[in-house]
Order: sequence, then structure tokens, then C-alpha cells
Amino acid sequence: MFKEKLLIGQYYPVDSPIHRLDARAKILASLIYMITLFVVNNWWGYALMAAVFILYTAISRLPMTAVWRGLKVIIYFSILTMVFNFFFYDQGEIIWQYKALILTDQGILHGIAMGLRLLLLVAFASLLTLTTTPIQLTDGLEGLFKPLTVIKFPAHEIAMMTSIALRFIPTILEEFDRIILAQRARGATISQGSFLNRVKALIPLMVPLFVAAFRRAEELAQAMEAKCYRGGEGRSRWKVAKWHQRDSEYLLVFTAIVVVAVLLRGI
Amino acid sequence: MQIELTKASYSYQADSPFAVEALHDIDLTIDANELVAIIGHSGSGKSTLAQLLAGLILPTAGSVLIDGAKPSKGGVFRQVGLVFQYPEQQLFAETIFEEVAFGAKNYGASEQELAGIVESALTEVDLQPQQFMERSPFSLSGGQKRRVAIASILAINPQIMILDEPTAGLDQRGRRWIIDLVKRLWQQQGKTIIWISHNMEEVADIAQRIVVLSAGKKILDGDPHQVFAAEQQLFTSGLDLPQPAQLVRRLRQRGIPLSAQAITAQEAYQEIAAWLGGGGDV
Repeated sequence: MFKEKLLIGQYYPVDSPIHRLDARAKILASLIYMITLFVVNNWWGYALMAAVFILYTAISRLPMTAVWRGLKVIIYFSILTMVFNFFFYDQGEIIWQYKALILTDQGILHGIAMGLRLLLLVAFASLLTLTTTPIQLTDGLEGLFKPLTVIKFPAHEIAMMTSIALRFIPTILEEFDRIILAQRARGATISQGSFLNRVKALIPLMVPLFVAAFRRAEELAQAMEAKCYRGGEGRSRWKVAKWHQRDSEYLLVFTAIVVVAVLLRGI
Repeated sequence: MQIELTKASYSYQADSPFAVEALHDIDLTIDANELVAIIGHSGSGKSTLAQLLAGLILPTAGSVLIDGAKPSKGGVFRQVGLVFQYPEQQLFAETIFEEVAFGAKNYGASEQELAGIVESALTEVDLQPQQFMERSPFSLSGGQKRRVAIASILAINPQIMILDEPTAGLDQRGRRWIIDLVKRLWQQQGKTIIWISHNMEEVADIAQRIVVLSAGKKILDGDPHQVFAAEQQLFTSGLDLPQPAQLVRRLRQRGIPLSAQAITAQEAYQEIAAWLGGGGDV
């Protein structure tokens, strides 16, 4: 079912140096990593990024099963990306051709690189949510957005919305599973017939899903108002995140990785 | 028509380190025209069992036979209708007519047949067809929505009806109405009814046979008097006796000579009335 497959990066509670870092540092590091992935242009670079990922996983003491579970879905996408790139890249020497489909030597390399890039991108992002609780993540985001409040950027609201959205992903997936079963019990077939029929078959699934989502949203809003939620102004925190020296050091390491990645471009 | 479970188990997220076994080694046979209640504490596996009995999910071990046939993956048995918990949450159509016709249409009823099918299904749930057919299901009250949802299953005309907590969230009248409907379906139309609940009074009132689940295992299976006589086993699995049985039990503890048989209000009334010397006539 969907819920079982799609739980990408649900927080995994173990104690590790990575878990203890400030969420702001981790968010920034993830951003840096993702941007660096697009800087990289050769195998040395990809090797570096893969090595960083593996090392990071090891330091964060996450069991491979937890990381793997999140990766399962993305591996399909990554293979799909790879195959598409195989056949739609027209530079290099042609190895095999069938009508409009062309397979070139450079196309194969390009495809592998693209698949790997996508895989590392999502894998590293999932490490962020695996090692950071949703609350820390929200506070971290809010902290990073804070300077923007000068230009009336709704930092608190954006952070709150993000965390609510993350929180409700498993709930809504569970709901979706139930709706699928219930409509199947009423004889609905989802994966048969023409394209138009398949789209029509989605209506009995989508309408109840949206109705439920709106109902939940309304209930949540009422519950928050009942607890006197008034937005971020004047709101204090139970746990205040403190920026330590180790967080700065951590970011320094990532800056170093960027520098190495840029240098590797030249090879 | 018969449903037969042999050593059936079901695990969520099977084949992963996060596997959770919801049902374990269930042996259960339900014959034609039985009225069986399945009871258990929340999380005891009741809803999973309902889906297994309807052939919607397949057991991870053991076997399920519906009318002698194994359910296939993604397939459903037209003869088994499952009314999910809070079925009103699955409404989606623009009109009540479409909503009720949905299942019957999926199973191949023709346009001409549909009008008659929808009309009789709505009449069965006490909604005036002329008055309601063209309205939106979303304009109804909670109780009416549930009737429409039940009508949409009745329109398929299944031989076996499985109802997962059909009275949850309804007021006393709504509950009474559902119980009467189910009794009617059972007595007059000869349907097999599988009633899932954790309301003991309700169960004592309607069931011919009670199956008790606890932590995914079947711990008791018998007629209501037998099951409610096994107090200790019920208590350890987090269940209570029906209120009337509790009353009789307390009176007995005070030394009042009643037999421990009563489980419904009616029976308790008769016992107590007999003891008071008034004779038991309601």
C-alpha cells in the first residue's frame, strides 16, 4: 500500500553527532549539498558526493534499513531518468539505433550521471528529515527565514505551514489507502480501461480525499484557535535552539566540500 | 455461501523490519444466513478481519475461501458487501442517485435496471427516492449520509453484509434504526450478517454468535450467553460485560438469587421481575 512504500525520511530517533546539530546548520548543509550536486561535472565529483553521503549516513548512526526504505521509491524514478537520458541524448558515437531511438556512448554515461544525481539529491534530503524532528525542522526554518521578516516575509507562518504539511503526509496516505479499499469494495476498478476511464475512476478516490483533507484542516484550525494560537508574534519556545561552535565547524566542512567539488571540475 | 478462514494471518508491511502482525492464526467459518458479531478492543484486528473476510486484502499466511474460491489480488467478491467504518466519508458523487448507483453500475447493471435498484435501495434505508435522488449527498445530515452509504452497498445486493462499527458516532435513534435494518436484512432477505462492534449491549442484543478478538487472536467463539459467561477472558482483553449483565452480576454479589444468564435488558428485566414476584411480562 502507499503508506508502506512512501514514508520517505520519517524521523529516526538515535543519538548521534548529526542528530545533535542545530537544525539550521543541517538545513543549510543540505542546501549546499544539493547545489554542489549541480556543480559537479565528472566522475570524480560524483565519487566525492557519494562518499560524503555514505560518511554522513555512517556518522548519523542510522540503520541501513531506515535509509533504504526511504530510497526504494526514488530508485524507480532514478532508473527511469537514467533510461530516458540513454535514449534522448544525441551526442557521441551511436552504438545502437532503432528508428528514432538512439543509444550513444556518451548518452549512457550521461544517463548514469543524471540517475545518480537524482538519487543522491533525494537521499541526502531524506537524511535531513531522518535526523531532525519535525519541530526542530520548523524552528530551524523559521530561524533561517527570520532576517526576511524585515521585508514582511511571513517567516513563522511559512514554517508552521511546512511543518503541518509534513505532519499530515502519513495521515493522508493512510486515508487514501482506506478510500481505495472502500471504493474497491463498491466494485470500482482503478487500473483498467482506456485513459479517459482511468481518469474518471480517480474521481471516487479524489473527492473523498479532498473532503477529508478540508475537514481535517478545519478541525485543526479550530483546535489551534481554541488553544489561543495567534501566529508567531510574542510566541516563546520550550526548547530554544542554540548555535554551537560545532555547528559552525560543520558548515565549514560543507564549504570545503564545495571548494573541492569546484576544483574537481577542472580535472 | 460460506466464508472459511484457515490459520489466516495478516501482517502490515510484511517482509520488512517494520512488520506488524494484525491477525494471527485465525480459524473461522461463517455459514449462510448467520448473524455473527465480531468484538474486540481497539487495535485487536477487527477491521483487518473485516477486510480479509471481504477478500479485499489477502492473508500473509494461511488461507481464505469465499464460497469455496480463493480471493485474487485486486479482485473483489460481488456477493460480499463491506460497509466500512464511517462509510459516509467515501461519498463522492454529485447526486444521491449516482452515489447509490455507483456500485451496481460497476458490477454491470444496465441503465434501465439502475432506476429500480436505486429506488428500492433508498426505500430500504427510509429515504424517499423522489425527494432525495437528485440532491447532493453532501447536503445531508451525518445520519442521512450514512444511510446513503449503506444504500450504495445494498444496491449491489450482496449475499453477505459485513458492517464495520455501523453505529459509531450515531445517536440512540440512529443506532436503533441501523440495528432494525440489519435484523430485517437478516430475517427477511436471508442475508449473512457480520457485525463488527465494541458496543457490548448492541452485540448482546442482536448477535446469534459472537467472535472475540484480542491482540490479533481469536480467543472466544460461541453464542452470546457462552461468550459473556467467560468474564475473565473478556476482562483481560479489555472488554466489559453488557450493562444489564453487569447489573445482574452486582445484584448476585449482594446475595440476590438471580441466575447469571441475563445479558440483554429484556432478560435482566425478566429475572429481576421474577425475583420481585411480579412475573416477567414486558
